[in-house]
Amino acid sequence: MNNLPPNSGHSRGRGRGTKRNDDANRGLGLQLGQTSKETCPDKPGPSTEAENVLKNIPRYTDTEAQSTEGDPRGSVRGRRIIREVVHSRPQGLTTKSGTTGTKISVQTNYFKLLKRPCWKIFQYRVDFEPDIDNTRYRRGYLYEHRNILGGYIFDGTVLFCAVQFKTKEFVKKNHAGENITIKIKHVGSVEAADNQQFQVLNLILRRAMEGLKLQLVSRNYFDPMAKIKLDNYRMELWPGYLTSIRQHESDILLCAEIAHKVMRTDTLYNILSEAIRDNDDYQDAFKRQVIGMICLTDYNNKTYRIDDVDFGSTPLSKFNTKEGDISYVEYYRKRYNITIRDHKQPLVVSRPTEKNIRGGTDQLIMLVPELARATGMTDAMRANFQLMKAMSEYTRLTPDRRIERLRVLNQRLLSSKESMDVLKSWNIQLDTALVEIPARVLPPEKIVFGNQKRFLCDTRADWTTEFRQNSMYSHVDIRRWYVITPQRNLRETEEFVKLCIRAASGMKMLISEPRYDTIPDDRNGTYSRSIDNAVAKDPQIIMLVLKSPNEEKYSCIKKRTCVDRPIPSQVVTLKTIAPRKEKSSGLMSIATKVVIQMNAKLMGAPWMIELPVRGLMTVGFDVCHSSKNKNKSYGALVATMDMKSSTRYYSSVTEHMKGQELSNQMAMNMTCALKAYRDHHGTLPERILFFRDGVGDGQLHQVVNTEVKFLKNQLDEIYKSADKADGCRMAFIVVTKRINTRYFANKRNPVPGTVVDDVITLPERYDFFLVSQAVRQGTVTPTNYNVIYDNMGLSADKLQMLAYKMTHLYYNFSGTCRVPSVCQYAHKLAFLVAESINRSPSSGLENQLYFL
Amino acid sequence: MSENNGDYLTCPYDKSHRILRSRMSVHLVRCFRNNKNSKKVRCPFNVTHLTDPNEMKNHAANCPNRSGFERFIKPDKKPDVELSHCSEKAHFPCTVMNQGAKNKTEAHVKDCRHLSSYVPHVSTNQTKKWEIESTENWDDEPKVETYDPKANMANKFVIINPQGNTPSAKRAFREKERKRFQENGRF
Repeated sequence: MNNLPPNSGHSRGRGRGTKRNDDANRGLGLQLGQTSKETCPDKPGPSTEAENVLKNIPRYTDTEAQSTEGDPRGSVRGRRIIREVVHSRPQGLTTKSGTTGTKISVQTNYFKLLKRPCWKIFQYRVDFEPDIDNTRYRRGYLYEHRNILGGYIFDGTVLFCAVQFKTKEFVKKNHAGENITIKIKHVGSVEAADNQQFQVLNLILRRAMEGLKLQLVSRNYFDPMAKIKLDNYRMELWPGYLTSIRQHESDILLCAEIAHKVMRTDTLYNILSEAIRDNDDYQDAFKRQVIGMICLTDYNNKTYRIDDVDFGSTPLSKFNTKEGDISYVEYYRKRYNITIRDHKQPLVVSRPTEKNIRGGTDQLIMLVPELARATGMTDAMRANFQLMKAMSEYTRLTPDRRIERLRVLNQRLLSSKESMDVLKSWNIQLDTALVEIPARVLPPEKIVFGNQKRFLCDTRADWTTEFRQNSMYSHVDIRRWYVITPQRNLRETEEFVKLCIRAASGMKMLISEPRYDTIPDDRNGTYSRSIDNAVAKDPQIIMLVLKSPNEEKYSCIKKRTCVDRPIPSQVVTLKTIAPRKEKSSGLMSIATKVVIQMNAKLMGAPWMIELPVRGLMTVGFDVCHSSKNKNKSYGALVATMDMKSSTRYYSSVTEHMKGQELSNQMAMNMTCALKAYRDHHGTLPERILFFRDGVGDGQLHQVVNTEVKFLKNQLDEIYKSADKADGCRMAFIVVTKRINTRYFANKRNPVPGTVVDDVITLPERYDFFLVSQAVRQGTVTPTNYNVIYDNMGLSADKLQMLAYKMTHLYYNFSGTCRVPSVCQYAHKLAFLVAESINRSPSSGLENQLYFL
Repeated sequence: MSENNGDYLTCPYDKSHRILRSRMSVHLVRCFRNNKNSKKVRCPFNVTHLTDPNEMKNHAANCPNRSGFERFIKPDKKPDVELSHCSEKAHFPCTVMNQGAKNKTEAHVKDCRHLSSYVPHVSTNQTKKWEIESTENWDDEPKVETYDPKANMANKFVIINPQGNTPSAKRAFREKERKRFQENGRF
């Protein structure tokens, strides 16, 4: 998602992208799980000799690739013997393992569970009378009876233990003299063959992690002892671990991943005092800052979204409880033993979420600023380059440091007495070494430029420099176009346009001198009027210059050009086209990129790849949840029209219900896409390859049952009506980017094209992992591909190669993406609609990549 | 509670089911299991819309999700332009679904001076039909059966999550697995 060049500026719709993260961070503080922020910087350096050498390699066929075992990138060093990796499948049958590519061995972030637990445990439900909310207390009360229970696991409601009994009741007096009754009821048992044992195993592991003095924050364990203080920025970084035990291809493996939690140390009270100090109207300033923020209250470890500030009430105000009215000060002292210091502070208000309401809490939740800690990173923090740099130093771990940290975790688990006791008492043994597995590096792809020139990708998977000597595969000459620029910036704009024309002529593309429309000011209305005037002259494309990245203006312009007056538009900011002197050296490459982008928007194809299948339609689908209007989500579908012989696309956007990830209208969208294909080619596509992004593990089942089922039915019907009795040949692949799996080749990041399809995959799936992007900082995150439906008639090997090929075609970045390009396009479109346009764009543009 | 009332829908299979709008598609999958014999038909525009067969025609004509389809069939026209004498449709003949209109536009396309700018220039000899040559051709290779994880799992001793089944099926599955593991002396 982030593999765009850093100088992308506003023209790429980036920089506004940070907003989305807020959503993901709701209630979590800021989680930097994905430490590998791939930044693929453009490499302006001269094309190296190595590249030329690569180009001279005549033909790089599969057979050759296989025989190059001596390839240094994947060779196994002497002492590292691969642990016997059981070939779990009989050879000859259809498998999900491919064969093409250079075989290498990679280390993964998994540990093996050596001893498979073979116990029968009993599951009980524990109730307290009167009810106790605090899990810690519940655990405390039960702990007193540990002699009867033996080794047990208790999460507050469910109790697992090895002792069998029917029901038990204990009575115990608490410190206030009340009688507390503990009722334990037998509800079932877990055997070694049950899926539920993983729940228990994970609980045991968590118990063992507690033995390392790790602290639970929301869902994962973090290490407060090893915290890194960034005092200048009033925040702390807590290193932590994400762990999960699961059944994998043939073994039970423990996946461990390093994450960091950003903890802000300032409370809302700090923000309030700052607002009072800096502003005349502190109430307004405070409100503006905190409304919409997520805060964390330490006393119950819960998060709330702040909706309002009540300046009329203070902690001394009273509220109604079952036991009568009580003031907040009193309540917090009694309930949590917290003393509120400032009795004059206002209270902040949180509206109950719909889930709360359904759960029975329908009153406004009042919070005390002193006790509410701010979470998440503000835009100001994100814009603070120093801060981000200081943070990335700790969060972006290189593979060797990551491996080291995983080893340390393993050692700590196996050497600390408390955690070892836990593991031993349940008879679990953990391997000390990371799982090492075979992988393959797929042969590099050939990028096709103009005049059928081909460029063989190297391990950097970047061909930005190739445009110095090659023309684009197909281009659209720009003869009539408009440039709309504020009067004061006319000079800079003209300079830049000249540069663009020069860059284009270098790529054999003709761009005529544009017509300029200078506008006196840069108000939204002025831009709109100017767009209207320009569109009336029927140009091919219009370029708009913005003084600074401004979300509102961008959104206004895009609404105008995508909905009211459908026309491709290119927005650039002054900062990108006229950078300060010392940075102006890269201006030519910026101009080149803008030209490539404009060409792509006009249905040109900057480059292509070799496709070995005819009549293939690739479809990508993604959903974007709007950050502004929480009630709306948009799903976008982007389809190609046989890239062997057409550069056309089809795209459509549908509105989803609030937060709804599944699409009800996918079948209809596909019908339209097929119609567009038939109108263009005269026949229906031979094969359809569908990439679905943004589906979590829990929704997989739903996707199979709703989207795929109805999609398949509808497509088969269409094919049958077109006299193709076999129906449609289709593969439906779910693409997942946010996964905890990592793998390393020789303690380095694996090169693009590294595929893993055994051992760490899941037995109930047809899946594989693929690293398609090259990263320079941190650790690369592989992408998981899960084939949930397939009757394409292609082997797993071919599907893997096809998926890899598809990551090469994202025209906003001359390199590979981490997801197939159609997914990236769909994401871009959904994001544009959710953030800026907020309605369906005009269908007049549906065949173009106008949203780039 | 009151503000949410509008967001509940009635399940087409069972009137007593009141479902949150966003959970409808999830519910229908479950409810379908109990109503396998239902004769209801699905709306082509939205799979959560189920009606009786005789009502479908009426529904399809008034379906709120029809708009996307309508927009596709009748793409927006560019506003009339001063210079140009042709509309957007002419430049994108493929979006014109109507055959009659197509003939007309084809004639127009021939001498439209704007057209040249819309046809991508491919730097090959053939401008009309181009194709990228590939060193491989997978079309000629024999058809391969797809990989079936279920068949593969059946003879391995892995623990499987019976997600998505009905509770009774889950229970039966668990019993079967326990037996299978025991019989093979795995535990």
